Amino acid sequence: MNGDTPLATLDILRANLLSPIVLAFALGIFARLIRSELALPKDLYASLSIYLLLALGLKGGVELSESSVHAIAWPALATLFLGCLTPVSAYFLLRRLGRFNSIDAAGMAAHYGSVSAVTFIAAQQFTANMGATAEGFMPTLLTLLESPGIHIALAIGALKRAKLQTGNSETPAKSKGTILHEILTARSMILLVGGLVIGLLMGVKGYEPIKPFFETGFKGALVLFILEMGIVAATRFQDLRKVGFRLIGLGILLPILHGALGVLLGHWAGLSIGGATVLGTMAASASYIAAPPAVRMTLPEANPAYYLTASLAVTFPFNLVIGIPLYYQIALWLQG
Amino acid sequence: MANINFKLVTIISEPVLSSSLVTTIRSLGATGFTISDVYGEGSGEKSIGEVPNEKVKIEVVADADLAKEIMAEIAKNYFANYSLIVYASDIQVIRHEKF
Repeated sequence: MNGDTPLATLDILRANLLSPIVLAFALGIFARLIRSELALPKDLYASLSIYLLLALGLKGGVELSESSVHAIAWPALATLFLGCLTPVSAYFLLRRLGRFNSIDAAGMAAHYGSVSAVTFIAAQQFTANMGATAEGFMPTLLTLLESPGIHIALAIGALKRAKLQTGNSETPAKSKGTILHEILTARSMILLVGGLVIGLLMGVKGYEPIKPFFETGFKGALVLFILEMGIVAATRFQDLRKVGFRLIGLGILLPILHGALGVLLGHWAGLSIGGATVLGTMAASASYIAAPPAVRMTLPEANPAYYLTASLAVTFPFNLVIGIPLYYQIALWLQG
Repeated sequence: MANINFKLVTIISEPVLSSSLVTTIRSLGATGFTISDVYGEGSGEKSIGEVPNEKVKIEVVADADLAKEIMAEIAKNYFANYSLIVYASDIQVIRHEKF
């Protein structure tokens, strides 16, 4: 990777394929496919995700303390717009092209409207490796995108559900208020938003003493976490045969559409190549931590095999391997 | 202290339901419960746990009437759309006033 000549598309793809993140993901899948008993202990998996999210929040907060309101205003608006648009576009494409019923489509739309933090981190690492480090306020945008998409899609689902209510008096196991509370107080939200606030308050000087712990180990911890993600994703592979080609196709089409749109909006909002790539990746990614329990509780009739398989076994691997380099390529074209 | 006959209601469910099941059990008047993480597979898999076979087991000690009520309420609210089983067994307790 030399800084003078831009890498050709194939080289970008190859650099991504040989990155420790993608290789660790592949190892996780391989381990699962050969039925190895390898799995990260549950507590380690939880600890790693706490470490990664807090580190992400802290660093984002410190960098936010250095950025101007002016610089972040347009990207923040673009992010909120994406958060409102992607659940709706996902819903209609799943209904029209996928011919899924309205409840299943709404359940999946909640996943595509929200964002996957691991995919976000992978995109940040990728752009940094390409020498196009994204803006420091990107983690702030991540928190903006986390919840609106879930709520919009769940609202669509709840409306359709009320219409369909025929003789089946089942009510969701939890009220909307409870679900909103759970999304806003979820571990990932507290760590990310809390980390941002701490980082913002303590600034660069306060960050200095804790920086070695939160930065030196970050990439290594990410590799371990992604290894487990590979195992988890491969566990869902057996469901691929059940869900059919339409879902697999849409699981690839939706991230490409949303990703390209995210890159374009990021470009218009004045983000750098790295920033536009990361925003595109955020729009393209599908949540698999915040969305599944929320959908399970509010839209119990939606088939979990659809939304989990789409986000974990199709969209997540696609973004990791092909999507991120693709959005980067689109950002390169746009910046000319 | 005499041993008194009670029921042990056991619910094995997908983990996402645990807090709402506990609320249901509490609201019916149960004085306590025990939750443990368990693994297993059933006939109607709909679980969304990150580990697919992950389940929770909730145990409640109750008198026969409350046990019946708990089982009926859970059947009414959750059986249609969620993966869970409920069963009751006969047990003997000491210090029955605790329950």
